[in-house]
Amino acid sequence: MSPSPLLTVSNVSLMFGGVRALNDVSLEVQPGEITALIGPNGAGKSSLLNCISGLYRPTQGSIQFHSARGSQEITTTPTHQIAALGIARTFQTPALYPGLSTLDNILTARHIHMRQGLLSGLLYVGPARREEEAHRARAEEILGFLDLKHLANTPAGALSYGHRKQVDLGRALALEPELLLVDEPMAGLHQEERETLTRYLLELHFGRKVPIILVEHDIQLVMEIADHVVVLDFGSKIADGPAEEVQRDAAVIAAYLGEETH
Amino acid sequence: MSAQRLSEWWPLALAFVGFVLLPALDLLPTELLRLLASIGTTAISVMGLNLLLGYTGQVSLGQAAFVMVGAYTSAILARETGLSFWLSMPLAGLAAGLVGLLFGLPSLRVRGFYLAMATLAAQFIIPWVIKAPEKLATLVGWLTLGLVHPTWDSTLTGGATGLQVPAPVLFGSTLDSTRAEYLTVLAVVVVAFLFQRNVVRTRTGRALVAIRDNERAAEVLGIHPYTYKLQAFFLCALYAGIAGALQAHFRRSISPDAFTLASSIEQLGMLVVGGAGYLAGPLFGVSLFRLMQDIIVRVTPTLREIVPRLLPFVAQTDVDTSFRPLIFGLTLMLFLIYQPLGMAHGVRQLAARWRARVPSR
Repeated sequence: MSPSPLLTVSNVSLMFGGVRALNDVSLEVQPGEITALIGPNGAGKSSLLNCISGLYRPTQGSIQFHSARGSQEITTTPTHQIAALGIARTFQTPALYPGLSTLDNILTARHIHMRQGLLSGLLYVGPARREEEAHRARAEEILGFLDLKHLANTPAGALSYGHRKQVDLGRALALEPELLLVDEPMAGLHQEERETLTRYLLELHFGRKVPIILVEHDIQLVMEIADHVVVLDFGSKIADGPAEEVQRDAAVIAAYLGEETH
Repeated sequence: MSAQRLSEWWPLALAFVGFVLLPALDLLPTELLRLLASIGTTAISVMGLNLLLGYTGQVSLGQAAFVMVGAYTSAILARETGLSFWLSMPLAGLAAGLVGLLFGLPSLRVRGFYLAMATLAAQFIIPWVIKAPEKLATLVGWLTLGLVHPTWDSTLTGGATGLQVPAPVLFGSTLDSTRAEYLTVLAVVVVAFLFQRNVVRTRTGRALVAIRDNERAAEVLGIHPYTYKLQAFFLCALYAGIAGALQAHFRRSISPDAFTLASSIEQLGMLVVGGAGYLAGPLFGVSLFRLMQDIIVRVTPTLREIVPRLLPFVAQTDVDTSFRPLIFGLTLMLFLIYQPLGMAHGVRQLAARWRARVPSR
């Protein structure tokens, strides 16, 4: 494949007791592309995402992240350090902090870009105040991008499901990721919300050139926006290639749409 | 603009007159000042607990033991080295904070009920060490393979009887009046409150709440839960230590039996009733409990005459011993049922309703 991938997943297997959630999966993510991860329920898509973001540890295999700051194996790196390397993610069910306001939820993701510790926070003078204000401005910018400014002070727990998914995305963006993992962004959204969210994803992709790994059930959406599609079935990779190519693949059709009956 | 500024400032001005000017001019009864000082001292410790439980979601049953560490550290420093209270108080906070950090270590592995059980250890180990410091000295000698041999014995801590503690001295005058106690406690409460607010609204505070609300989502955003849980334990015990130092130097004597598990639990109760996770929660909760206690003390003599006559199976001593815990238990229960988020939450709701009702100009 292309000589300089952003992320290399090599022969990753993941076992839960006797259950094999991932079986020898390898794939490469190219910078600047949208890589879609598709497959039926239980195919291992979210498991793979959890391995990349450090929530699960692969039983076998390795994951390499080639960021602007150099290549690094992240297979066993603690979750919070993976985030600090520049990998952000959203959750299938938005995992916001309900007790914090929308703006503060976004600000939390500025954590790795901020330096103030306990003592300077206690005193809140000079540098601490300036840093806080600078990052608040950044967070407000992101709220502006997502058209959520009017909800800045609303507690995240009081937001609608659709807004929560948007804030979840905004939070991941606030980390300024070099790679963004998006887990089923459309799940549970109605048509209008889907269109809004798709627009944001495309804006991110074309405007900010953020590479994305997208787990999504909506095949039509995937085929429209993904550059590169990886298909999983029962934990194994069954297809990998440009969207048009994968769409025609017989194995994919069989796994995804069922065997043709005539 | 100026009208708006005025409406923002008048509560502060009123508070200044009520809490600073009147007491400073000696226009409030001593009894009231004593009550307020006691509320303030306890509230400092409960503020620490608020940072831990209210904002970080970690439980501790050892708060009274951390108050004890602060009280004894400050008392011993003052007695043995003659150190000024104004230095021994922060040092007491620091010492308690470090001990709190140690007992916070289990939070890295366990949570909820199990963490509560693990922190309970502080409530047993710390009083034991303070009653018999020579045992700790032996242990230290043993652990350092005889290199260090501390000569601690019970004259240092006063063993089971406790210690007499000198009153703080400020610019040559001894602060032994209730008014001086009140004003000192007030100053520390204000600083403690501002620190609490600053922590909560900045990077550290957001990390704490993120861990409380969704630990996994916190990690995924680069927040290291261990670091921040330990910081929360440190802060929690630091506040306890400051409260302990105030208590020691103004009560003038300390004894190991004053820092009980019951006191730790009572502080948790005050926090829950006041509103855990609200800045004003500790002040509300401690005030309510202390006021109730005051009322209970006043009505008990009457009740112990009346109740046994109405209910012949109740003895007078029963009224003395059971009335207070009965009322406290009922209060806690009623709050958990009808206002589980506490008084601060209720006040906030009322304020929101009031603002919605009054048409804006």
